[in-house]
Amino acid sequence: MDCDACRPLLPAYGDNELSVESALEVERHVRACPQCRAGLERQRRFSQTLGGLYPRAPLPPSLEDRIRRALRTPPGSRIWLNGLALAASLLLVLGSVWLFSRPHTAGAPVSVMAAADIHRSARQHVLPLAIHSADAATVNEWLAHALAFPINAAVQQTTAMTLEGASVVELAGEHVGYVQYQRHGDPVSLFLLPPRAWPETGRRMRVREVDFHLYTIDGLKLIAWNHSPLSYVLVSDLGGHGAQACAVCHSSMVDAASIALPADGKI
Amino acid sequence: MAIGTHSRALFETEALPHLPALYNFALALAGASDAEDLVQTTCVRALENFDAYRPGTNMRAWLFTILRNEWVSRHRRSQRRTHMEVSSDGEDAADLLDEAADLEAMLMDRRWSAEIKAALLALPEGYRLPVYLKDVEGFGYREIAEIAGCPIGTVMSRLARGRATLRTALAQQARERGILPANAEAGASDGL
Repeated sequence: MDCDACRPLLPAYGDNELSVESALEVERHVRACPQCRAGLERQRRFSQTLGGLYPRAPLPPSLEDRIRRALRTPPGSRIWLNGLALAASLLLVLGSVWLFSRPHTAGAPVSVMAAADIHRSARQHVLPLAIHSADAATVNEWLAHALAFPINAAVQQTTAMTLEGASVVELAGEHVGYVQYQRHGDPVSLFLLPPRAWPETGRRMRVREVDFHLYTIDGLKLIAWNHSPLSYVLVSDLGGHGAQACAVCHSSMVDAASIALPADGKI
Repeated sequence: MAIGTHSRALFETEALPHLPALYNFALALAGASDAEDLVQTTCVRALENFDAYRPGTNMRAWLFTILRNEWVSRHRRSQRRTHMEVSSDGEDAADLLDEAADLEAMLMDRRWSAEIKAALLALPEGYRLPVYLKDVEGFGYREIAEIAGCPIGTVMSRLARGRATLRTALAQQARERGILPANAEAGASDGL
């Protein structure tokens, strides 16, 4: 073995990663070649110096406790939406029981109709997500990069649904954010749109000075509303177990959203 | 999948001792702002997939692999990732033969920990990963290949190139500060 053959093998030899045969050949050459021997010694010392001097940061004191708590949290109970989105989720669950007793399809905006189409694709598992993550911060960061308009960290934590991921979809000719959740095996779709004025159609409700426009399209429940800096459309198919979902989540959602409900449960 | 109390306890016993190493790896990979969340998510993912872990194999490498995959999935489509890639897998490994100036002694004498860390973290991800995993964490080539998701040959070439690049950067700093003579280590980019 000459120097040209030996040199590329020296790093692996120094790291004890060569086969026995190759290592013996390198060893023979290095013993006879001062230059390669010096190079080998240099690499070993550099690696040792690097490993010895690289400063390790201490584990933040609260991190292990936080992780232990996270490990004890059942999967699927970590993520939900904040503020108005949470209020909308309340409406969605209640709406599946009380509000959608009759269809409200007349005059649904094109973007709402398109949102229903996309949700159907999600339900049929033919809508690929660009990012799969149950971490709200990750989804927010990804959407902030992917969209041409600000979203103000619209996705946050919940105990009600599992965050599946996000994508950018075309909704009536514009690219908007799509966030997918799962609840009891069914997808729940949240669309994040640039702000717009929703037409006075559908069944309208006003909660905390926000107008919610409620539609039922082919059995799907849709809610469209505005909350600066975004407009939202929320789509679900909770018809089969709306009451059950209400029983599971009703109190925590009411607490979180601080929405006063009439005694009879009707809004 | 339901995770039993016994599995979780076993997981905590096996995995949590590696938290300091995982956290430092996350810092090297993602920076301080994302490291804690990345480690937490890694642990949750690892517990969810604990049945895929083979007892007796390297738990630390398994956790590092999950963390690296999680990090990649978070940044797959972000602009941040593009400049972290090295340009090619086909570079020749840098050799080790250059002049005799003793950079290592200088690094040790002056306790250049901060400079070493900064220079290593400044490497493109493709180089930073194998150098960190080998020289800081002591993983073998096969484990590094699994964690980095690339062939062993790529690990070897990137490790050699990464070390050479790192050494060049440190020698350059030492020259600029007058610690090494101006002509010393001039050939560091040709060889470590």
